[in-house]
Amino acid sequence: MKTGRVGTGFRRELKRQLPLLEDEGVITAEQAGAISDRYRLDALASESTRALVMVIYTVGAFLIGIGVVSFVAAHWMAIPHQLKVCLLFAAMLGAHGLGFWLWKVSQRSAALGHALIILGTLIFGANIGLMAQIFHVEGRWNGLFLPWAAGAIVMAYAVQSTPNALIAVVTSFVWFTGGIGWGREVCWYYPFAAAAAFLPYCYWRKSAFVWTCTLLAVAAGTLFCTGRMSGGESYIGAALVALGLLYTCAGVIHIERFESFRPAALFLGYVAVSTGVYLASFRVIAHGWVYCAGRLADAEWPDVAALLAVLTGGVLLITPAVLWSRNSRAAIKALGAVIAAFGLFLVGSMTASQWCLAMLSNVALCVLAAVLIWAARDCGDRRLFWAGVVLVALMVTSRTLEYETGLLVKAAVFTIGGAAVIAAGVMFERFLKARRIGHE
Amino acid sequence: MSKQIMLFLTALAVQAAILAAVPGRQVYTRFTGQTIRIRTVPVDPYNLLSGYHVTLDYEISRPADWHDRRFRPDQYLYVVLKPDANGIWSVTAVHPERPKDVEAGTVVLKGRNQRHRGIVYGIESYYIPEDKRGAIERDLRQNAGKAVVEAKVDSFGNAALVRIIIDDRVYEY
Repeated sequence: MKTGRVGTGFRRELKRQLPLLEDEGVITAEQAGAISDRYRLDALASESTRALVMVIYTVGAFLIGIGVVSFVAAHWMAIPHQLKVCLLFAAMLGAHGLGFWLWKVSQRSAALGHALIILGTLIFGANIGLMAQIFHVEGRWNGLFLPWAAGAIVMAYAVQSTPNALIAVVTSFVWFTGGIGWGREVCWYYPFAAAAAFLPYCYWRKSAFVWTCTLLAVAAGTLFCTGRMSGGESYIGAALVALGLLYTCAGVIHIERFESFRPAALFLGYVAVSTGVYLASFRVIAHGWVYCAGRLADAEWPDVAALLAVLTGGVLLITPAVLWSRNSRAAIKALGAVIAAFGLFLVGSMTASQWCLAMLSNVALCVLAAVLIWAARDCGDRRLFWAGVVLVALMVTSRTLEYETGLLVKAAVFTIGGAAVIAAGVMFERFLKARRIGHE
Repeated sequence: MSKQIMLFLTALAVQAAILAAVPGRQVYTRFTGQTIRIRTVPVDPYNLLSGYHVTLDYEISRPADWHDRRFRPDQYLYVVLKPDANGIWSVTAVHPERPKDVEAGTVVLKGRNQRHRGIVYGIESYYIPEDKRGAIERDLRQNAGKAVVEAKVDSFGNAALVRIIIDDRVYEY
């Protein structure tokens, strides 16, 4: 029987409330038993114990890993090279082997076994640095992180270990930030490589957390690459908005197995688009961005390819997302708002006027905020409402401070704005209350 | 053998292979390379020690031929070395491409052109024990320019640093 995703906090509270409801005669003993079975309330204690044990083992593994990494800094020159190499391999293979045996073979202690495999991957990373020291291998500081990421993701796929996948995402991003700073051309492909390497794991293991981290890494990587292009600062707005469109589309696609992925994608998409149009609403920034569409023809591969791939991906995802998905009205509205903002930004970018881009970006901000508030009315979700209000307030405040307005005008704007925010909040609460009463 | 065990062993093999590949070039060069001795030159005293390795600079890093010709930054260069009467190897020619025919008794060393550092050969850092840092730093400062480095150069022109020699003192780690 499907219960959907219910939090542990809800289940704990339910377990606490059931005896009270039974005593008061609200539910019968049979009904209490049925509710307890449905939400697996008896399993709470063992689940929390398992979770705690896993956390303890994982923290312990990380601490040991840090200790091993610190050992790299201390370095150990008295032992002959051959013995050092043997010890390094023994430590890594031992941790992995014991962990796998405990987790998958004997199944005596899955938590400890998994933690040992995580430790093995951490030792692997430290070993790369140690091997470089032993044999005096020269290289940049970020050089060890790419092989570390490669080893971690291979182990993640092999034993279905989400912490290993997370280590791979983090270490790959560290490698990228070190390389892009040096202008290494291979780093341009990082967003694509990260998506190709990590997203399949996220879908396979249904890990929303690694999915979110991957989306963040891909977004940050795309923005870094965009900024490093010649004249790249002009493209950052387009990259933000295009990424936002892509992520929102990913968040709108409704596949039941991956329901947990949608909130993160929608949130990141909306934030990316809002950030892009918010920045473009400043005339000074719009001035630098206004010619970006015209410069695309002069940009070099793979700079253009990166941008166009993101844009194309976003466009390709729009149609099936809308046609095939059974979506909530809020999600459809969110997608509509993002498409509208994307369109306004694109039109504004292709004009020759910074005023046009700034004005259209302000319109786009209003659209995004309006849809947030509209969706909040539909869902009864206060967070969406206040997000929309904050967006409007941010826009008004920014315009007031950006332009040379007198103190009186500023005073009036802020006073009226503050009053409007309070009035809007009161009206929204009344609306929610009226709806709640209506349902009752 | 179950599929799960096979996958795990494959992942383990990948990690082991990556680990073995890290020093692969250095190990190959040490086993197959020809030994050369090259003289160091004084380095910036503030940059002598960077973390736990000593920074080295060489006479062969800025040969006369390199000064006269304007090579591109990051361009690979091939330097022909020949020993003198004291067994110290010095540069006879610098080429942008690997020379096909070289005189007997010479070696070709591959480096990368870096404008301010000269030609970098990958042997400019030497990791030293923490408890020896002070002594080695003092020795290098007091004998700046007298220190000689023994390295190996393989058939591809790659170098691996073996030891530092200052007078009769040998530092090998």
